Amino acid sequence: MPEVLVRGIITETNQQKEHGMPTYPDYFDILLSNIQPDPQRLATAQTILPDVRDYLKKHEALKTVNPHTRLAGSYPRDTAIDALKDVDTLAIIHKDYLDEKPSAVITVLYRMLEKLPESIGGSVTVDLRKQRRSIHVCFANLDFHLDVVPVVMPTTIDEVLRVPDRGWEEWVETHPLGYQQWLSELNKKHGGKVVPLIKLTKHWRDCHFVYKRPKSYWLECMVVRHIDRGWVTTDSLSYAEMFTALLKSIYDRYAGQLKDPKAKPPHIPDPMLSNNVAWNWERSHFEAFMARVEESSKWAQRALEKDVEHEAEGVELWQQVFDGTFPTMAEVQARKAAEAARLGILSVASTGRVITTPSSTVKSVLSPQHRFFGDENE
Amino acid sequence: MSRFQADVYREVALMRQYFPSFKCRLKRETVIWHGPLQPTESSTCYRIRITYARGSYPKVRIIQPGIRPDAPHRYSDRSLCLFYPEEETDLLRQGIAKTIVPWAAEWLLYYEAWLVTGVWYGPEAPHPVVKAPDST
Repeated sequence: MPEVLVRGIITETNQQKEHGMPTYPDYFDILLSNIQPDPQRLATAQTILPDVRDYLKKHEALKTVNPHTRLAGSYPRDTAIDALKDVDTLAIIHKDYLDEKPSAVITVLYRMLEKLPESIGGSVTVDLRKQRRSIHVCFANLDFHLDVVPVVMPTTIDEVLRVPDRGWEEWVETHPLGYQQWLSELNKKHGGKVVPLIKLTKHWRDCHFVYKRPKSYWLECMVVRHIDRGWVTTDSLSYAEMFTALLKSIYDRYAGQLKDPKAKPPHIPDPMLSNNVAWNWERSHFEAFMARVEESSKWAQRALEKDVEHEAEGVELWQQVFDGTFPTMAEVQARKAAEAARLGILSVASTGRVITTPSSTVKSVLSPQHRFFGDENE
Repeated sequence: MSRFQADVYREVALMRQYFPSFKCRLKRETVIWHGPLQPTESSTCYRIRITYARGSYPKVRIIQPGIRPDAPHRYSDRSLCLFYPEEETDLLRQGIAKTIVPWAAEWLLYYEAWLVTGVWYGPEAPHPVVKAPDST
């Protein structure tokens, strides 16, 4: 086998030194991959949803109209993370229901869904809970949750819909599919970086809040507004840079309300309808949110200011931003090595240094593709 | 000169060429190398021992620092399981310096990540029976 010369971690580091600060692209790629929705939950969703949608279409207690059901929310928008807690399913009901009280419609839907397990069959059991605008369906033995949202459409599903709000006893406007389309276009316009940025923001929230959690949709609206208005740019920027800019921009924009103790929390407009999606954001919850934003913003800024020689310190700061869920250097190096091994380009220098990227400056030997065998703990 | 002796001379020459910091010791029909491997810039420098005896696969053990007793991909004699004997034995003909040593460096890198995450990121072929292979 001929001797192979490759560029490795050592040379890569030297090149980064020449070009400035590390922007942690491998780390963020791995973090984003780690927060993808659980494949098991996705598989469950794909198994259960057709049965539920079929049930909603055929059951006559609540009359649906063509197209009967549609998926909405973070699942079809691809902004869901981790456990994929709820999947929103729109039940498109007849417009005659607009004459009914919203709470009455929600109750009819509730009673109808009580019989869902009989229709699906098998050992499926469900726990139902009335929510403001939907019925929350928990498939207890499958650890899967669904929100069934009744909506009335004017003439087509792509228009502004009406949803019953039993808190206000009013039919209110909603435009989930319009937003889905708009987000898809915004994401495309920004090189596919908007959806990952939303995911990072939701994950950051999950890292720092058990109580006083801002809702996912509020965060999503916040992120898209900052991008759409150009307050945070995406061109040629890494996720580390964009996320840092986002935290700072959020803090700066809402600092006025924070400093004025009598001010209400900020208006977070719905991207389609402009209504304040965070209308019930409590002042104390807003203050907690801003405290975490300010703290994380400072950590992120300091991480970006580290030079390559202090990358480990930068990683530690990102660990604080993402509360220990940020990938470690060891994980990143191992994943890069595994990928290089898969591609057959992994090599090892005479010091034992594992090198993952071909180069002409470090003398090394190509490692033949192989598999580690066995596990005495099996 | 026996085939094994010829093989040993070739292995020693390749090791000297590719991993000159490894020290070699010949003992009857066994060759032993001791040397350092540092898989990444931020890694510990590990001292490893490679033992190659007539009629056996080369065996690798980590001498220093001590590694976790529950570390995966090791045989019951604590040597590293670096390849899948049923399918990858032919690769060893390339020489210890071109197979066993790079694989050992990889093992160390994956081991360091395993210490942090509990996940083995390297390619693997798990099997139910773990026994140190003694003979070629």
